[in-house]
Amino acid sequence: MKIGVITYPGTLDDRDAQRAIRLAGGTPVPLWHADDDLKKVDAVVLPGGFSYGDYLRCGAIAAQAPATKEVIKLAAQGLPVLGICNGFQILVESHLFRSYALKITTPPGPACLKKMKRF
Amino acid sequence: MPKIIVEIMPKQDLLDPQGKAVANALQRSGNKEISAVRIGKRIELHFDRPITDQDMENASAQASSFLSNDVIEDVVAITKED
Repeated sequence: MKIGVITYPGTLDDRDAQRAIRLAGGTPVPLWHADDDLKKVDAVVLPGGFSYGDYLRCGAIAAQAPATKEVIKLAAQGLPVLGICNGFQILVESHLFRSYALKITTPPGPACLKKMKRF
Repeated sequence: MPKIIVEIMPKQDLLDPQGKAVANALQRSGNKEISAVRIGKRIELHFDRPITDQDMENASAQASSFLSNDVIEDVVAITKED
């Protein structure tokens, strides 16, 4: 099974993701953010790190990348996509979870923060 | 220099943890009269020519789709400065 791993400027864990795919018996396919060719992979992993230094909002600039646009398009057709940490933030900024985000009245993040001690 | 200024704030009904931490720090340092702090951002789009209505429309579209995230933020102002 060919599984693509996208590398953005500032991605840190692409090599780890590729290794994990290899150990799980898959074939990792390195993908480049500026390239809109996802090389016919069966699934895509957006690994963690700090794409574009978390500038503007975490994942916001990476969400505009040609490779991400292609992920959005193919996800709508059923392509499995895994976002880890900053990779998940890129998916959120790609509005792939839009309907879900608008539905929740108490966002999980701030609710958890309320339980924590104040800074 | 002609510029378009986009101002973005976290939504009113959303907790702004950054603002809260800063408010607490201000109160600890004696600013008891400051009851709350909210932190947003100001983005300047610079131009080397006069700004047109088309530029304002474009800035408005970019402000709501890319410069801000409308799930958690509001664009509170888009102004032109010559």
